[in-house]
Formats: sequence, C-alpha cells, structure tokens
Amino acid sequence: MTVDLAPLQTIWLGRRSYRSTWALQRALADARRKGWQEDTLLLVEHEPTITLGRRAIPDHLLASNEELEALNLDVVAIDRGGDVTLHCPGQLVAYPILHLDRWGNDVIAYLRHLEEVGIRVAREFGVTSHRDAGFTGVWVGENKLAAIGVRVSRGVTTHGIALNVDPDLKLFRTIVPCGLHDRGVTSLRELANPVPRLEQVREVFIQQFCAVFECEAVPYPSDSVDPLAEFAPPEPAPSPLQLSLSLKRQAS
Amino acid sequence: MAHEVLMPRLSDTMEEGTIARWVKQVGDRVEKGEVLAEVETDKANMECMSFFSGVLSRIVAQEGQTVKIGDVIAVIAGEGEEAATASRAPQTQAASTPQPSTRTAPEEPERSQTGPSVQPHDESSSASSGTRLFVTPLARRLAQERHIDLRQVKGSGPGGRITRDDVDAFTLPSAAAAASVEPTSTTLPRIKQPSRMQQIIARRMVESKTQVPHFYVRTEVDLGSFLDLRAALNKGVDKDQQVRIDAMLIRACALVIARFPEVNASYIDGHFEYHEDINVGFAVSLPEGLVVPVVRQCDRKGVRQIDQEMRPLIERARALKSTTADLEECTFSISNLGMYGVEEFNAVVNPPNAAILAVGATQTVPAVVDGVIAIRQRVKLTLSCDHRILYGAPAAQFLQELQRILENPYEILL
Repeated sequence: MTVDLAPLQTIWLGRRSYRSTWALQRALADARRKGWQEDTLLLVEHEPTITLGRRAIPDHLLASNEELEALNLDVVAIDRGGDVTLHCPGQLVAYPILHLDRWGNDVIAYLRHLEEVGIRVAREFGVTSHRDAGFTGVWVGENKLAAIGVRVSRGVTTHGIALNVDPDLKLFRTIVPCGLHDRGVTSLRELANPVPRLEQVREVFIQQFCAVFECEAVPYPSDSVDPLAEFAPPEPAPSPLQLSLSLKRQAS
Repeated sequence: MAHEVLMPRLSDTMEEGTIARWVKQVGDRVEKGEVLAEVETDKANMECMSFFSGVLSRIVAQEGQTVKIGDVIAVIAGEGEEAATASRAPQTQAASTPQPSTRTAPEEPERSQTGPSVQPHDESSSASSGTRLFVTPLARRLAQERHIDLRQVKGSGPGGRITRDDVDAFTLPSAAAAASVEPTSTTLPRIKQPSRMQQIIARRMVESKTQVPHFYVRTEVDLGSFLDLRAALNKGVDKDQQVRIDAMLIRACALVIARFPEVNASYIDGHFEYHEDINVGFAVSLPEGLVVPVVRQCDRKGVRQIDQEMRPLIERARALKSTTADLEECTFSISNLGMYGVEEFNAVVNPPNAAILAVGATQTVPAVVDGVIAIRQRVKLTLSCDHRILYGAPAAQFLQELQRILENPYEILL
C-alpha cells in the first residue's frame, strides 16, 4: 500500500548570512500561512553569527566588542525561544517552515520531533546521542551536538536546529551556549570516524527529517530561481534588545 | 464585561509558560485574534492571541515571569468599561508594572478613522422615551457604518450603555431578515476554552475519524445466563463490593480477543503491531469529558481481580486524578452507555486500537427461544473496527464468539 506523503520543498542555500536567511524564513512563513507555499525545509551554513533568543541574558555573551569584531562575529537578537546560540561554517542549520496544523499544533511535540531527527542523523554516523529532559537539544554526554530553538507564529514554524558537523569549536567560547554554564559543545568531528562532510550530513538529515515528519522531499520548483531573490524582504530593524546590548557594550 | 486572559496551553505536555514579551501594553486597544504577547515554553516561542476585543486594562504576568497554564496573565476590559478601567488602571498599574504606560487614549484611533461625516441620527439627544443614549465610541462608529439606528439597539453595558456586542447582535438578525429568515435569538454563543482533556479528546477523535476507516458490526446477545451468573456471584455480597457487569464483560472480551490477534492490534506507520498483552480500556464518563482507564493483562486475571482493579481506576478518573499509567497501553476499548437506556450506538475507535466495543442497554424483550416466544434480556453490541487492520469477517467472527461466551458465561470464570 502506498501513502501519499506531504511534499516538503527542500532548499539548500549554501553559505549565507544569518540576517538574509532570517528574512527569507519570515517571507516563506508568511507565504506558508497564506497557503501560497508548501512546507519548506531550508538548509544553510551560516557565516559566524551569535543569535540571542527573546529571553537571552546579555551576560551569556562573553566576548567583548573587540573580540567579536576580530572573529568577524555578527550579533543578532531574534524572535525564537531559547537563549544564546552560535552559528558558523561547519554547522548544518535547518529551518523547517511547517504548518503545525498537521501536527496538532503541539509545539513541544515539535521540539521532540526535531530532537529525534538530530538523534537519528547522529546514529547514521555511528554516534549515540540522547535527549536531556528539561534541556532541549541533542546531547552526547554533557555536551551539545545540536542546538534547537523555534518560533511558532499563527501555526507556522521558523528557526529550527543547528547540528555541529565540523565547526571551529573555539568560537563557542564567546558565549554560554543556551545559558548553561556547566555544559559544553561537541561536533561530529569529535565523535564520528570517519568524519563526514557537511554535504553527506545534509543528505542524511533530509532523509531522516522526512522519515520523522512523514513527508517527501521535493526540490525547490526551479533551481534557476533564487528563493532569496524571490522572497527577499528588506533587512530587519534592530530590536530593542539589540539596541540595549549595543548600549551595554558602549557603557562597558 | 472584563475578560481574563489565561496562560494558553500550547502543547499537550506543556505545564507552564514564560511571558517573553508583551506585544500590547496597558491601555492598548485589542481586537479578537490579535497577538497579545509572546509566550515561551521549553525552547519554543509562540504567540498568545486574544479571544476578546477591548482594552488591555491590566498585565498580571510580567515579562520573564513563568506562570502555570490557566493562570490569569492579563485582563481585557470590554467596550463598556473603558471609562471605568481608565480610572482604575493607574493604581493597578503602579502595583504591577514598573513603568507606567504612556498610552491613555484608547478611543483615539477610532476617532481618527471615523473622519468627518454626517451623523445620521443624533443619538445623544433623546430616544422616544426621552432618555439619553449611552454608546461606546466603537459601537457608535459601527452603527454609523452599518446605518443602524442606535435608538433601536438595546444596551447591555453598565447603565444600559450600548457596546460593540450590542451593535453586532443587532446587525446579525437584520442581515438574517434580509434573507427573509425569522431570527430566533439575538444572543451570541457563549465562548469557552476547552479544558486540556477536552482538547485531547477533540484532537484524538478528529485523528480517529479522519485517519481510521471505520466500519461497524453488530449483534444481539441474550444476557439471561450472564445476568444469572452475576447474581450468583454477588449473592450475599455487599452492594458496593459486587462484581460489576463491566468487569465480566472485560473478562469475556479478553478471552475472545486471545483468539483474534487482529482485534488486539494497531495499524501504526504503515505496519501491523500485534500486542502481547490484552489491556482493556473502559470509558468513564465525567462531567466535562471522558477518560479511558486501562486494566492490564485481562486474559490472565479473574473476574474479581479485574473488578477490584477497576475500582481505584474509576475513583481516580472521577476525581480527575488519573495517572498517565492508568491510561496507557490500552489495546482494546469498551464503551458502555447501557445505563442511559441507549439501545445501541457506534463508538469512535480509540487510536491506536483496532476496535472498540459499544454496549447498549439490556432490554427485556420477547424473543424466540427454542421455537417458543419467551421474555428475554437482550443487549446490542456494536464493534467499531479500523479496517486497515481488522476486516469484516474476523470482526464478525469475534462478535459471534463473544456472543457464544456471553450466552454460555461459565467460561469467564475459568
């Protein structure tokens, strides 16, 4: 018996800035809500960026302005749940833009599903990972392999999961990841043998995502159309937290 | 009237939420469906919509504060209360908000949108009775837009003030009248948020009825011997310790289920799962919903043991204190509406079960027994089946076998 699986438009963006991808996410989410767009999975590798969730504690950003500048780290205050997160090359970032209606609009169940995808991907590369009740994410021992933070607005998800394949772990010293002082960060490079390439992890991720979320990956309608060009909205204005952070920096 | 805004349940497993940000501030106008606040739980940020229109008169839970589901996070004052809340707001604000709100003119946007226009009626002068009309600004604007004579609208606000709801209520029947339908009532439906249990029921029932292809098989069973057996079992036993009919039914079902593995199975993710244990759930009706507590391994337990295990399950269910373990791992369900005199009904399959048995009332009816018409006690049983895993013939055979055991019930004591 065959089952018609929901289509999932899968878009690999390559290496993109955080800000432009965030703008794309919001445009796609808006299109999804209006029914112009199917569920979408954006996959991307970001330039070095620190993102601050809605309730981020400024002290969890450890680096000084000079250090941030030296590391070429952008800081963006955003609208997802969670605290401080770092993105950089070598990290596979996935942003599912899904309508949660099909999933009973249960946002915590959605988080657990994202963790399941991360755990399955790690398993495919011979790495055993686990959940930790109360600490959303994919963990290997006390170290985080994948960070998760989402936003659901009028039924549609944005943000998602960032899986460390082979990032420069030193960059993570600039933050207290997710606000947890006693936890560390790890990557598939540290754990898997042989170390997979990001492209390999990406393909496995799509496969496992489709298995967990019961959908079928379809390529973006036309490879010749740049989704960024199609949906590109202007850069967002800085949020109040961003402004207060910059003020805090100036003061210190 | 003032509406309390409660911390919404955004997940079945959510227990509390944290206010990440207030999108609306005290004094802001709020329309139904507008985003009031962002709520965070776990690592998810979500929007909390308003179910009411009015003015945000008080913020109870501040940004960063974590509150339990169902706790009041804010108060929205209705249209008629704008003046009252405006005078009350500063005190409550001082107590709860560190920074006093600078927005104090909720009516302003309404005025600016109205613009200069000819007033169709001078409502503020006098109605036929000669009394002055009290109308909220929004109600006045809406009435103007819809060409409604406010003198004909009955005010429900404080002091008979005409509110938006009154204008809306007035609009509805007149629209209906245009379609030459007699309005029966001008009251709007009462809106109530379903409880967590009711939400789960709604979700599961939709899931079942949309995903499970149901079919039904029915049979009528002579319960005479079964009831005689129960009477014999309960002879001299205190009323509150007597074996329940349901315990005997569960036991009978378990015996039959053991011979029909596809009844004790689930269709999950495109494959068949056959369950080792026969765990029978029985629906317990509650004032605001129902739960299905589960008696485990019923094929290995006697009638009395099943009956004894049902008692605390029912007690906890009625006290709304069912534990997760009470409700888990059900492999077959029974719903008995016999006590309500229902002759027969079709139950909705309780996913991921393959079947549910609906039990009607035992009725004293004439029946042909051994070629003679006799007065017998009969019950109608309906089995609802998930046709993906349980097909017509085995379902029918299951009922046939169940009928045999119920009509020759001594087997259930073995």
